[in-house]
Amino acid sequence: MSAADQVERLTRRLLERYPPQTTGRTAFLAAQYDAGLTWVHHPAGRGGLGGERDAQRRVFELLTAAGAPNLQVESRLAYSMGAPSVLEWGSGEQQERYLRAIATGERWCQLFSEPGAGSDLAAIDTRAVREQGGWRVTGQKVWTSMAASSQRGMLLARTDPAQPKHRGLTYFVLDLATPGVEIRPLRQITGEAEFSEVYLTDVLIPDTDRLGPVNAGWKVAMSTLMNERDMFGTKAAESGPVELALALYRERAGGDPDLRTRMVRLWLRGHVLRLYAARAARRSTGTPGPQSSVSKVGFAELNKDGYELCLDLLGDEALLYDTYEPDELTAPSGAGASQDPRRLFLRSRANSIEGGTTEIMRNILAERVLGLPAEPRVDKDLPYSSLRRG
Amino acid sequence: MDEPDELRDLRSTLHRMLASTAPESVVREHLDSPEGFDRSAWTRLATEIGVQGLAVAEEYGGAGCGMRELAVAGEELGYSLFPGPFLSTVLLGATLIARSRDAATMQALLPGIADGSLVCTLALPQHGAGWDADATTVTAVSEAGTWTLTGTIDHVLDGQVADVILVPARHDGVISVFRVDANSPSVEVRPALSMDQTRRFAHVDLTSASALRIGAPGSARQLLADAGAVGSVGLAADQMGGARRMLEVTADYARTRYQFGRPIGSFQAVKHALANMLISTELARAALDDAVRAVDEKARDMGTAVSVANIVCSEAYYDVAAAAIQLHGGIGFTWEHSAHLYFKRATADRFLLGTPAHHAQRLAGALEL
Ligand SMILES: Cc1cc2nc3c(=O)[nH]c(=O)nc-3n(C[C@H](O)[C@H](O)[C@H](O)COP(=O)(O)OP(=O)(O)OC[C@H]3O[C@@H](n4cnc5c(N)ncnc54)[C@H](O)[C@@H]3O)c2cc1C
Repeated sequence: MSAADQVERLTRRLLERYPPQTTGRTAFLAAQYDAGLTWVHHPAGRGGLGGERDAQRRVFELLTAAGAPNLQVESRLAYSMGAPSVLEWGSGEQQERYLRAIATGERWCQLFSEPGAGSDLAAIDTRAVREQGGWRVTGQKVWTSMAASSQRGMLLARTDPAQPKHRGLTYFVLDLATPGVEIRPLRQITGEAEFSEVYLTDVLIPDTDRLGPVNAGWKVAMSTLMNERDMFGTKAAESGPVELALALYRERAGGDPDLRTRMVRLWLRGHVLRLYAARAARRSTGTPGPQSSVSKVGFAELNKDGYELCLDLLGDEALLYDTYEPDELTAPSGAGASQDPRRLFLRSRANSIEGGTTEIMRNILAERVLGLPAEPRVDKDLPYSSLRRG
Repeated sequence: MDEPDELRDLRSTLHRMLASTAPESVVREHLDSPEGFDRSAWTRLATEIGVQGLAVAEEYGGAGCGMRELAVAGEELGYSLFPGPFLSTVLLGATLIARSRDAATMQALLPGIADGSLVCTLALPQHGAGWDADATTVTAVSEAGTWTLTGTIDHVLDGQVADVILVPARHDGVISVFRVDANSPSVEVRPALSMDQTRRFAHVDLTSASALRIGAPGSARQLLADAGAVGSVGLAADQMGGARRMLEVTADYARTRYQFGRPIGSFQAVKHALANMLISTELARAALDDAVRAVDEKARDMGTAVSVANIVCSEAYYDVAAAAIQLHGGIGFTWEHSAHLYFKRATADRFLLGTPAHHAQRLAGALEL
């Protein structure tokens, strides 16, 4: 029996034994974890079967069709960014603890960016100071997606300001219910509050929640970031503006030759990007490489251009909007939120910013894939404490 | 900019006044107020500078200027994102009324427009048609010497605050423009929520609404073309002002935002993006100036010049505002930053008086393509 057939058979058996309609959500998710069907490419005992990453898609297809939870959609950051970082860097105890928590529905957010550190992530200023049994953390994070609906955060903090900026960082998994964590929703262009500012004041984190060695946080963060790019690339492959534009086109375009050419080109771009993502998924094992920036950039531009075409297809209705009520989002825009093309159009402006800007992605491709010389780096080897920021 | 003194004075006076009476905080206050703009600021524009009466003839309380002055005003209002019925009342409304040479209507409406007390809008037939009178679906009927109008017009600019609505309507096989009193019971105005939060739209339902015809029967096509030309160039000026503002704000940010120990403006990717913003803005300026000239001279190439300005300024503003968001990174995507307000206006502007695609069609016609 082929590996794919085995995954299919195991998934069907899971659904038979634990019918999603009569099994509690957590019980179902725990059974899925124990059956190795949460991340089929993980090792046995860690929610997987040591299988092909690509086979996971089939599992979710079957689960979704049967009305079972889909963590890839419902807890995107924990599932696609937290878990791989934990698998790569966590101790055996941490792997078991965090992976099971994620697998049974815990949501995570990413506490990386700060007002002074976005593209230049290694410039973060949040401090973690060693204490008896743990760390005392103080600082401010910003643009933290889904913070308000998450239980834990992937936190990058500075543990040694005397070292150059990449070297004095440490990575923690923060329980957001810890005293001193304050989450303030931040409104965005669409009117919603999808992300937040997160203030950390004397937050105590036990050392058992540190992921990876002290002062090696940059390396752990790189693993999270590589997976984030990959996620942004493949997530966009799932739906996106092409379907919506096709529907609007069929309803309204009336044979306009300009719109017709744009529609075909949009479909073509979406199609090729999907082919690329599928090919990359078949080849990949472990952490995605810098090539995932190809998908990231491709889908960001596709989304922006695609929703622009949707607006042109809407015509004068683009003058209006559905609602600017400042809702707090519990799921990312697009997932569960309004499917109004005008809202999706505004949301798409972030696709070339979130998860690393398009400019940064192009730098990565040029430098790390093509091996072109980097732009001069004035700050790489200076101690963090003497850097110019702003 | 080498501008004649009197234009430069108008520009700087207006610039200063808008900076004090309509700073961003005031603009934001009116994002969801019922009227959508600050009446007292609107009145001050009329009484202290005479913005609303710039192009109104002196006998009706105006200054009798032309497109040059209107464009300067439009640009400064666009620069500060001023929410107020300038496009509807001054550019479209006052122009159409003046061009009608209908003495009774001019006497009745122009003085109120000039002194800022009257808001007037033009219910353009929509659906991508821009200012194409033939697209109207409103019908006019005359009985015993009085006219009534019936029909619905979608998203009428400033419909929610207009005192008077100018409506192209079909009768006896021709199309004329009529005026209706927006407060009469047979006129229903349903406010709509706009993408551009600084401009308001409403759907207008007319059910045998009593109306007065403006000008000669069948003159709607010409009147709309005239008002449309002035409106389009005024809109292009607004776009120019917005693009200029976003370019300035973004260049300032690139000079002062540090990442990797350097101002982000020292990265070539950012520098080139800003250079592209500058190029778009400069080219838009050239197109705008030419369209202003063409309208003031009633030049033979006016139609072409207006369409060129519409396309070039629409695209420049949209591209520049989009780049402003991108170059501000995460901050540019937040509600508290101004970039989204400009971007929304730039997006909506493309659909307001005929889309760039619609103007490209007209251009294709002019080029005999
Ligand atoms: C919707 C949304 C959700 C987000 N969610 C999260 C989250 O959950 N967690 C989290 O930690 N962060 C999150 N972010 C933050 C995001 O990762 C940062 O906004 C992004 O990395 C850019 O950083 P910045 O905003 O500081 O912009 P800056 O880094 O200041 O960049 C400003 C501009 O300069 C350019 N630039 C900077 N450096 C260079 C360079 N070397 N070469 C060329 N150009 C350069 C950038 O491309 C950009 O155009 C989110 C952002 C958005 C918009």
